[in-house]
Amino acid sequence: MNKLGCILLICLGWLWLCSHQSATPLFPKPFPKPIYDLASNPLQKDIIDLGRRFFYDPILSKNNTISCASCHSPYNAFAHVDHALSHGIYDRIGFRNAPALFNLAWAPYFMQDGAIHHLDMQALAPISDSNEMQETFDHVISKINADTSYKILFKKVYHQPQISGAQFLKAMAQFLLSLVSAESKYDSVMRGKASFSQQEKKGYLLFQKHCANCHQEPLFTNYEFVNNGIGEDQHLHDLGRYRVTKDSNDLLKFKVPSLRNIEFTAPYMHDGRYASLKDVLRFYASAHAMQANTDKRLHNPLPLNANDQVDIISFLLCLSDKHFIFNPQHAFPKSMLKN
Amino acid sequence: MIKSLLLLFCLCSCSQSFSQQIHFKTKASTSPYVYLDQDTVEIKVLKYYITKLQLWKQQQLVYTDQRGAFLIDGLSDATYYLAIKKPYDSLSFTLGIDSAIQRKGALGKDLDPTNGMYWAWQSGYIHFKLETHSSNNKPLQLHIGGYAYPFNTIQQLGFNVTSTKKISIQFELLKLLQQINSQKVYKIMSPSAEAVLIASFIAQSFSISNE
Repeated sequence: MNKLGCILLICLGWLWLCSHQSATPLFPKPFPKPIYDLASNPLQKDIIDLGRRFFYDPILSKNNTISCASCHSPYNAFAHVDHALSHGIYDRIGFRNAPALFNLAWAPYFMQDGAIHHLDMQALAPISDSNEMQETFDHVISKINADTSYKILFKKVYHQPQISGAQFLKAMAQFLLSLVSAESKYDSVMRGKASFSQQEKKGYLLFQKHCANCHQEPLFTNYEFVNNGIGEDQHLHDLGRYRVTKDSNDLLKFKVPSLRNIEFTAPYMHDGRYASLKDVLRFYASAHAMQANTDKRLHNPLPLNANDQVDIISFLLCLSDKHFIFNPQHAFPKSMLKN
Repeated sequence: MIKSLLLLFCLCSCSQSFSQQIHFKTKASTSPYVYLDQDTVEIKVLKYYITKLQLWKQQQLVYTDQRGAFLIDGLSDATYYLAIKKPYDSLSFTLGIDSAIQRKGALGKDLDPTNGMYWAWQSGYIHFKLETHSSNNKPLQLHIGGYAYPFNTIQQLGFNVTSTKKISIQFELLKLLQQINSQKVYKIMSPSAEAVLIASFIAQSFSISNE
């Protein structure tokens, strides 16, 4: 009888675990320890799904027309295809090229000038930006708390019909944390499950020599702020990191972006001024005017001839992660259509 | 008319078990107007954060409030209670949210960003928010925040307590307005050197009265 009781208990426990299934925290092997404190926001599948729904819901904007996905499309590694600058509410044009979103648990700060210091707080910026969603955060929370379909979801997830601002931000962060990209050809090669072509190999060696100082493996960024010498843009006069620190040493510095999925995230640079990877490589390999604080590593043009540039691009294409791009867990949740 | 907004610490002592109750209250004004140099200043918003409230006896820490942060609304009748069991002769608190809390990510209750005390474009709490409308001068919009060098606007305040019957921590808005007026500052919306200066004026505008 006791034995039966034990078995019953184990079965019940197992059933409970299944119903409260935690999403597998994806910490791919070569990646360092995440910066995000997961103990403060333990990943849970139903909360990730809720965050995903928020991400795709235009209710976040003032007139319910713009969602996060409007400028962060899953099929572009959550960047905005073909847009140097994105258009938000009332077709207003934004200030910077919308960045790709993945591997965010490893990022020490967010935005190209590092203005946001915690992933939880990131969503506040586009919600309130007058060119993006132009909504107040407390109004977003009252709108979703008044929405019948959300009430049902909140009861299921949080056992209460309404949520706080903090709960909203934590759920959004959970979805963003679930966007892990580590299944590219490069990753397969590193795990010994594939091999580079001759050209890719040549490109990889050139990359390691000339690019990897900033675009460090395996995340392909060192998260530094760097003035890469492209110069101030003529229309926005975006001063980069200086906007945050007001320190003249930070003029025109922007965060080094990851190069993973770079194939899908054109156009390039903080203002999207280069349409193709060819343009980017040509820039780094040619002489151009320097600003006072252009990074020392870029004072001289990179010694890359036209063939070298093509080889590097062939390597960069190995950073494309189709498993990530087409992962149905990241796509628009079809359940939203029913409501 | 209000000359000051009061944060009251009312303290009742029960001699048997030596348990004390601190009751702090933001005294609501009868009218949200302040008069300064023939100008009528209407207060639209006055909110600030108090954290790390601590009580001391002969420079030894006897009590640290565990609830974290209090968002004080200078225009409402917020009331807080604290139960403590030890005598004390001074108290201290932080005006603002320190970096340890700032770096924790999304927090609820008084620290929930729905309270309108969190910057969106740049991470960080607004420690002190004052918005006014004025008959003769430009409206004030002072959102004082910043927790990191060189624009750290967090202020540590400490006061001796001579009597534990009733303690009032007083924030004198008029005193602040006079200082701001002399600086001709009207709008601060981000961490800056100006914000650091104004934060010091804010700290100077707090005082204690013992009854």
